[in-house]
Amino acid sequence: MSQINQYRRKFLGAASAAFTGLSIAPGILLQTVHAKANDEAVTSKQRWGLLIDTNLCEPGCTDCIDACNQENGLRDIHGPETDAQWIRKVTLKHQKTGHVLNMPVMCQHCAEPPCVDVCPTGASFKRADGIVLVDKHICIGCRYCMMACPYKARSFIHEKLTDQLPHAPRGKGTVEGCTLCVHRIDRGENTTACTQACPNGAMTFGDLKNPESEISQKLAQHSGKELRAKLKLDTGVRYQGIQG
Amino acid sequence: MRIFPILLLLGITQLQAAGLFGPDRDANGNIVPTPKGEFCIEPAEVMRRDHMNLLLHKRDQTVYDGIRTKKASLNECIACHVTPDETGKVARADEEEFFCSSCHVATSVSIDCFDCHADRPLEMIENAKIDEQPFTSGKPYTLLKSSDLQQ
Repeated sequence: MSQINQYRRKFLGAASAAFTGLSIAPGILLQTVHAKANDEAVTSKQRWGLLIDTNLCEPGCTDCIDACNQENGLRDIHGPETDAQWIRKVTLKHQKTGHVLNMPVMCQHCAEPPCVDVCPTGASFKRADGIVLVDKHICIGCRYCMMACPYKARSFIHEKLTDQLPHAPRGKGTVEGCTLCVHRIDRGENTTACTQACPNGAMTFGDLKNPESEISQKLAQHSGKELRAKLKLDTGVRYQGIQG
Repeated sequence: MRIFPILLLLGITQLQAAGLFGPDRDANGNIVPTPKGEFCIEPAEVMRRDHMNLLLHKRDQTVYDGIRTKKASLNECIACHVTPDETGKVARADEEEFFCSSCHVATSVSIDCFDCHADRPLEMIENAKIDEQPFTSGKPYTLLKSSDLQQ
């Protein structure tokens, strides 16, 4: 690089730094949305979460589950008793009013995850951006996390698997659960397979720490409840239309 | 004149060793697979000795920090080193012709990477759907769980 080019680069760098905090009007700052570069580590500046509006969730519809299974390569092996289930469709009926509630329940990506507390090897962990995952390289398949999870969100793989997808490694003897489509997030996509698949737009994915994000806006406007909030796990998945 | 067929046979063996029939083999008869790309991320000597360390380092970066660069990513190794042979067949992880297995069989070092990880690039998995089971449908689970809860 020539000296002039170097000077140019420095000048432009300094100029862009000086204009970052530029405001259009008093009190309104121009904010740049910073997408994570491929070689950057995730930080706690983000916390990914989901908001599910149970009033929009159709009874009998399993589009989110089907999309999740396809995205992550979950296949029928021995039926629902032992197969992995990352999302379960739950139907609840209120005893007094008779109101029927449908909702998908998956890993709630708790801020205080019980699965991480009980894991003897440290395989169950929470990423800096709030996604709760299993490091299957060190998972010994003890299934303590499955016992500890109040949402029945984890599954154990009983059989030898074949034809796993490159972005979703899964194998016998390890525990797994919803990854919040972590491979998509790392690619910079701002959505999950289930969110995209919902025909009614009942699910919203986004950054809970960014007040400008759609999920934060919706939460600010209509609020959202945690499942089993009394456990104080501060879940990343919130629900609308449920009675706390 | 009896020596001629033996010489011919020896010649064929040599040709086999030179890779004209079947997969390429080195002087010891071990399979040497052909990669797709022009060069690897490090020279062959470094890769032979340190590929496991590079993979381990990258593994933890990816799992814990979400760093998904191409260098030393297992998926990228597979994308380049898993190629169809001249008949169009792609070796699977449990076969000797598979890139990793070719050395690991010779050195008797078993690896379990491919118990979980894909041994083919995504396009090949998508193209070979004939022998695969369908993806799980959410339908039976819904019925099961709903009835359980409503009882």
